[in-house]
Amino acid sequence: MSENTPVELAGYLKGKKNVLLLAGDLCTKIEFDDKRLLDHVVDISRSLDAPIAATGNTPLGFKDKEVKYKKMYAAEVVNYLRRPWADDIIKERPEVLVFIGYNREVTGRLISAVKDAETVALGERYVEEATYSLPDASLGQWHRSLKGLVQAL
Amino acid sequence: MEEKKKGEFTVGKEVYNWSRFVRDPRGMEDFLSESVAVDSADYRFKQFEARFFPNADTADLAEMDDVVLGRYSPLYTGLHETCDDCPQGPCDFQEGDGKCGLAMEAFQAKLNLKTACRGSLSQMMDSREVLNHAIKVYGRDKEVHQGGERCYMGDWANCIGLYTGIWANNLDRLDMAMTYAEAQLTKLFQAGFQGNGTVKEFEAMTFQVGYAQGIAQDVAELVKISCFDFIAAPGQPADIMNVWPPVTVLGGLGNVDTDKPVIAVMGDSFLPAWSAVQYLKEKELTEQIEVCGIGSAGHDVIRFYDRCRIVAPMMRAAKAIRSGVADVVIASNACVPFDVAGEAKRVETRVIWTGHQGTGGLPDRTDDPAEEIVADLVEGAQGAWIRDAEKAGTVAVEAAQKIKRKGDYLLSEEAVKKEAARCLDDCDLCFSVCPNNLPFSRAVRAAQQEGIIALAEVEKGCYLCGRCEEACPADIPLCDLIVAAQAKRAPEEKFPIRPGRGAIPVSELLQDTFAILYGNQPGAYLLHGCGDAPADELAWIAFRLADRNCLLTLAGCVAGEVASYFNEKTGKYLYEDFGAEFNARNIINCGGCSAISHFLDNTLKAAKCSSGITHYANWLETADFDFDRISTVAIIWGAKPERMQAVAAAHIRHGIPCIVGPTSGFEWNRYLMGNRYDRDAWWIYDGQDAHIRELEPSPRSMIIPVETKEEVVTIGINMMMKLQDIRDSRLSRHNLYLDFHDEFFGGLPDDWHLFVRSDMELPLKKKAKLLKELRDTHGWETKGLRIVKARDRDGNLRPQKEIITYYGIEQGRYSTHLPRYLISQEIRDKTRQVQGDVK
Repeated sequence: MSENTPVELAGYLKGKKNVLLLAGDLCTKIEFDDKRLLDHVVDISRSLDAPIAATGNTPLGFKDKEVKYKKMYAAEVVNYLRRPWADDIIKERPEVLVFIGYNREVTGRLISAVKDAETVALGERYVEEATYSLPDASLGQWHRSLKGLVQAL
Repeated sequence: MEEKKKGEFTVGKEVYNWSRFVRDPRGMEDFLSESVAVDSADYRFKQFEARFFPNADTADLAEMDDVVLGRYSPLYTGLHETCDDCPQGPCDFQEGDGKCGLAMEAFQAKLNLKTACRGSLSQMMDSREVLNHAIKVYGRDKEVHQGGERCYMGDWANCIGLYTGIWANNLDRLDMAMTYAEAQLTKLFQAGFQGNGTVKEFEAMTFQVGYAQGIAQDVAELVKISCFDFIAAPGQPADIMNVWPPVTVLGGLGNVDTDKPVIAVMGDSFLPAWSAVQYLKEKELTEQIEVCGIGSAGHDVIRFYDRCRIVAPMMRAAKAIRSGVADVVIASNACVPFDVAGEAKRVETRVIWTGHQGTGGLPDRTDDPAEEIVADLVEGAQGAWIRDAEKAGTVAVEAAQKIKRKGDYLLSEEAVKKEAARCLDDCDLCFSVCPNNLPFSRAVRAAQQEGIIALAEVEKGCYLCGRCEEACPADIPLCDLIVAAQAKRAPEEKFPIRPGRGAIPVSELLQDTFAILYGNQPGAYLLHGCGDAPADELAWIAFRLADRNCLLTLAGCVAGEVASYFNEKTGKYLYEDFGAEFNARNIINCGGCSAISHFLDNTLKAAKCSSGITHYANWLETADFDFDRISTVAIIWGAKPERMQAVAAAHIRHGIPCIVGPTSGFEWNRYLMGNRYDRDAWWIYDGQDAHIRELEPSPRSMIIPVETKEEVVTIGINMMMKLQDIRDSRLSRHNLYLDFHDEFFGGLPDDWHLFVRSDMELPLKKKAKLLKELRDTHGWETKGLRIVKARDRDGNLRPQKEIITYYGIEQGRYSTHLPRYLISQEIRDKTRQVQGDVK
């Protein structure tokens, strides 16, 4: 719905209680100069004290990182939202789902099926289906945005 | 002998009338007496309320569709909000239901129906064309067969039999079946535009599309085998199936001798290629001219001409054509639209288009003399549209021998560096739009210094969709860079393929029974893939599953995709490494895309193999039997063509779950998802006492998209857990599920305990650790290596032996999803009486 700066997104996320991060497989593949995308997810998770639904091949990357995570399948997480929440990745129904590590197409389609929760897209492309989204960016700009987000959390 | 009245038939000693079992049997009585009556056991007519559905409409089969959709609720993504399908529109669903009464979610289901219909069209057209050609050449009375005596009447073209009730043993009957399928598709397409039903109704119609396509595939296969000399296993001795057909076909661009004239065949239709090969043989030119295959036609050709080289799946046709490998390409309609004229023009390959409608403005030369067309092509004409398969084949062979091309179409090392140097810093749009998430921008920037070699990894994962090139603000010809990298790799791209073998007779299916029930075969997979996934991923999936004792069945472009896997340990390629019989640790290639019907056959035949259930006009009973019993999973890795959505619809209608991916799987817009926390959805009737029993939550979904190949193999084995697994099969499934999960994701999956029914089913090596986990994490009571009490899903501790009856049905006990198949009260009373007498 709206394109947001990292600081705006940080402000929004800090005000939410039940945030669930969805970490897609790109988290294991994208490496910036000094950091992997997966490390940004760890930082966000720690800052928000938010659990991670680790999809794709990401679970091994979160091992020993002192974050709460569980191997899940992206479409199943979205599907679970259609009924009273029951999965133990997060106690109560998530208020916000944060997508990171999926390409624009996949993020948009998953988000379009989310029922009764707000969504944040932290990819390098603007996702119009999301409640809030980072804007289009190069890999370098995206990296800077994520750093800025973590700093502001 | 007493003469039978109209509509009467005999099974065993009893005489019945079709009007008791079929709503309106008029016109079908003789066919049914020849199929259902001959292929059925007497007791099935007495046990319960048998019902047959010849020439079934979607609504006839709703009982079982309701069960499927009751458990697996459609999840729609990429929602469309405006319908413009009729003159009353457009209707915006954000503002409420459409003027026709259609609701938002039903509209998504309707769109999905339309997608499946579109996806099935090219197969329908191709089957009709092949059938019409055969009728023209051989006449309507020409008998058709599955290739030999090992397929008998009760083991015959299941899609046709199930839906029409007809034993399709000649071309005339195939025409009847095809006409039924076409009529169904017309109705379904009409509903896709003008229907205003419910979600369930549209979804059921999508299932029906899957079988209209399945019938078309059955028709094509029977014609190909019976009239065009396609090799087929039922004509071969059963004891050589582990090595039959031999691995004699070569694949890969490196195996094409480009010093000779090269003809590429591409698309769905094998007919022009068949004519070309006959002409090559007649003129003794097989040594002089190379034939290579792209897409389904290639996999058909290798079933009658093993000199054909498989070079690409249909989704990578552009990459193959732009490589310049072919002097002439014979092309036809295919599963995806493709600008064959445009791509071929770049490399001066001449196009002989044989499709149903024109392409790229090529002139219709159907009625021109072959010599004139050849002369024009040699002179430089770009191509010709020839709607006559025989003439197209002749022209291709004659033209290929005379055409001289420049042969200099690829970017040089220097040209690649120069183009790469124009890449803008801090852009990365090519990465952002890549459907396979390939690191294009980094590779291109590296190519500025390193040249073509820097593109090698990206090239392997690229299918030349061209989105990067469209997005590039510097207008770098990225596709040409990729093709240059492909050319660098091409000489080493060499691998052997086992050609398709056609049907899998019941006798071979039975051979696998021991492995799948009592042995250590964790499951059977049906593998599909159209080429849009990174090239080596399907090969990896195939190897990892076969290597762990799974049985794999393939058809279509996937058969070439997996062939390149090279096992360093054994020094063998995939087809050399594994046998080809229907058994654990084997890989069976059925053939081109139409051979997918043999997949459907081999899962549908389970009801016949296990319980003697005829498939003729007997969808409900067949699907009811299969749904919670058959441990088979379909993988569609590279799911771009809409045809695959129709294929998936056929699989899931009788309980074969489909895993789709990678990115193209997320583009499907509709999935059938189960929710393991929704316990009311997982149930079955005890067929003998009519009580409803809760089931384990498996298969977890009927269509689910996943991101990675590791997710495919892991969730796939999880989805093999079925109601009537017996001890050894459940044990092997547990073992592989836990192994894969630990290897790829670390630790135990969060649902494994839901499938533990007995300590005897836990893998021995892991048993102590798993029992500790059950005790410490899940609160079960254990003693030594035994489970004393298991915790049920309500939190109660129950003796282990109760669990298997609490979450399922005791092994061997009859169960059903449909009230009509509950054992009749009369038989139940008799059974009780007998049990009482025995006591």
